[in-house]
Amino acid sequence: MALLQISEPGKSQDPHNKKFYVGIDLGTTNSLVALIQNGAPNILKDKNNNELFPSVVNYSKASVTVGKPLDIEDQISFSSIKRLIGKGINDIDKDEFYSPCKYHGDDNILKFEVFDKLVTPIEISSEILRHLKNITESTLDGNIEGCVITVPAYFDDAQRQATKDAAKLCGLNTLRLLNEPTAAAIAYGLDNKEVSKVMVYDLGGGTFDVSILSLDNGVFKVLATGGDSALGGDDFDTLLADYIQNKLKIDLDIKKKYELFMYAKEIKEILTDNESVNINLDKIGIKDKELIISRVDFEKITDRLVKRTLEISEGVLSDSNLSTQDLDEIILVGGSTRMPNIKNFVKIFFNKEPLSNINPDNVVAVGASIQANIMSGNSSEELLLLDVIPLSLGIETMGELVEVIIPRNSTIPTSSSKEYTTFKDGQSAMSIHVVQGERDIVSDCRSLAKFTVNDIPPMLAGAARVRLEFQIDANGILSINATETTTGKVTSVEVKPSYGITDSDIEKMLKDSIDNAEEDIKNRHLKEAAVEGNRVILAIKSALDIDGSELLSEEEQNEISHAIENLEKKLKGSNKDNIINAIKSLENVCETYVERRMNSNIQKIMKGTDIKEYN
Amino acid sequence: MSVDFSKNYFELFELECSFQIDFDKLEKRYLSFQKKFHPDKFVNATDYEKRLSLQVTSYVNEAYETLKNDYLKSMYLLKIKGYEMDNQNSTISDPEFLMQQMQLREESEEILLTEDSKLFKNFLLNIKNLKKNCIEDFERKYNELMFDDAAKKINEMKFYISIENDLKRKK
Repeated sequence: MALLQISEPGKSQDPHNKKFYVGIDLGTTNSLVALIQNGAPNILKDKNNNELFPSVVNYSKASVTVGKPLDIEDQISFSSIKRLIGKGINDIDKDEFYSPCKYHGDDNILKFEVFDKLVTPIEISSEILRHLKNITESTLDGNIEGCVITVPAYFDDAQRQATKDAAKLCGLNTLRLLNEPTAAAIAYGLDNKEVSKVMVYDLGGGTFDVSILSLDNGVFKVLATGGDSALGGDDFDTLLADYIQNKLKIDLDIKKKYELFMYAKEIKEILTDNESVNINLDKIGIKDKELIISRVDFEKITDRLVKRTLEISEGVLSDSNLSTQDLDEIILVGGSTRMPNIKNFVKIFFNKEPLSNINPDNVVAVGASIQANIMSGNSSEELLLLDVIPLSLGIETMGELVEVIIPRNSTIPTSSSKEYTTFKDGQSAMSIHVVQGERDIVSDCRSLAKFTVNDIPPMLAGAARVRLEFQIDANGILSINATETTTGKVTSVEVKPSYGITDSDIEKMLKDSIDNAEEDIKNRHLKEAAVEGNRVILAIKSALDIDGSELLSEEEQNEISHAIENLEKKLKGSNKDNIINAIKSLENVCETYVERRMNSNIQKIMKGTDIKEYN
Repeated sequence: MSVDFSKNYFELFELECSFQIDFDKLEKRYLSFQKKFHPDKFVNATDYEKRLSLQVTSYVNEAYETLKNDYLKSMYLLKIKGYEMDNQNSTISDPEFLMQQMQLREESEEILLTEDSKLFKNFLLNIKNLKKNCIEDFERKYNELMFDDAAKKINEMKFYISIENDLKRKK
């Protein structure tokens, strides 16, 4: 139960202002959207009945489109941008990511030269999300109120933050970032189990990921994760296309080779439900070349790819200190797991029937939609997802060593504070470098942020005490506070994300992305402020109804009523700042009340009033 | 201004302030806190409530992780008794244990070089046993109110944990 939280009623009074909470699977190859409708998860279909939207962004001089590249000249297309989000220039692996244009990385932030402007992977990803948002809102005739976006379990702080920024850029409100394997486990309802160990085997179009999860009374822990970021369904198609070309002894130019590759993909899919298929290259404009390929042939050709995935899975299992018999469930995720021999091999290898009855393309989005629905307050289901931080967080100390501040696998949210002191008389600033990773040496970890604590009052060496507070939220995203404790002065901290963008960058990008910027942004801000204002009023009123008279004196109640009236008056006007100020003063007036409620709830738990529920 | 965190971790979960604790009760209270205060339950709340929810759950998580872990719990018990264990300054003054430490370190390096999995397993088991005995010693000393001796046991514990982690990592 939330304190001042209101549940969005399922039906909105205004039929033209429907609100939706959706789950988004932002994939390397394809992306999709799911939401709960009439109590069951549904995958969103566009007008043409498409469910899978290619994660490809095409820039031309005049426009940006998402999906298959248009047949026009002068077009720059980005695919697999997920491989680069939250990364720096040195992270570009040319085998994994082919850049369609020049790029550079001033200050580590990757920027592509797209015609006359520079775009970051965050903006490119944001275009995909904007596309999904537009399809959803036009198909369902309403607005997305909040979303849950899935990310790979191994994503570090920078990659998570960048994903969230991409959502913010296109105006999506991210309720939660959810780990993909966790989403798959939710989709199968495994969160209801008391204790179990689950392997999630995810073979997509271009990537292979394996995760081992432990589920313990609603606590999801990622025990280990691994994979091959350059192994996926496309590799099966390539091997099959090569085989056909060799068998029929034909020479192909690049264009024909691509057509054969696409044909091979089709053949692979046919062989999922058929024992054999007649191939006729007439289809791609080559006469008199025919061949029969059986499923057994196909499985022989691609055998080494399947074996490779099993080797990786076994390695990840042993990383988690588990053995085959410890696994309670195996979940198959990703379109490529439709190939019958994948299921067979997994079953034989791990001696367990894998779960595959939910469409493997959809399963992650389905899990995300269930979580989004629960967080919206529309569902009576109680799901508590307690995630852990995937990599340790530390700071650089003398000698380029890492001092761990928050160890990996700590349940989040979590916080930790450390005190540091000056080592020179009169020292007024301190430089801090935050890293993430499991290694002892700074250069072996990933740099997250560098910042300077300024305005330290001049004192003798060792006398000033700077307390750094690290806070990790439920999404695994870090924020930092610094205080000089002898004077109690909160010092300014400028956190500069090593691979990300700052809030002011986001604001600037927002402005750049909207034509007619000034007017639009003004209206948007006003609308946002009004929505927020109404929400706060509703929340506080419904809380007052419950325990206002119990926890507040008459005088305090009056004070709150006045603040509410004031805000209501401002909401009738059209000045954004007035509304925001009125919200702030209402919230200020309510601070004591909120604290009393929070404490009274803690007391209730400590008195054990809630314990009966669990007996 | 923030929520009242004056209660210690044991009081927070309504547990007796001792080394042995009722894990079932800890688990239940922990979950009931999380069910009520987890930030996921506050997505539509005001910023101030969001911040409080973050603070409360962070505190509860920290308390829970401390009580679940023998080493952290031991240090916390002494802290309540006024024995602050400073991580950086804790040196081991007991020459006998210092000798034993050096021997175990050497032994562990040799075993890692031989890559003999049976030797490795036995050695790891030996370390685990030493750690277990050390934890039991701590509990006894703590219950006898011999806090100086108990503090020494914590330093020993720390050594066994570090060697155990090294072995697991380098294997």
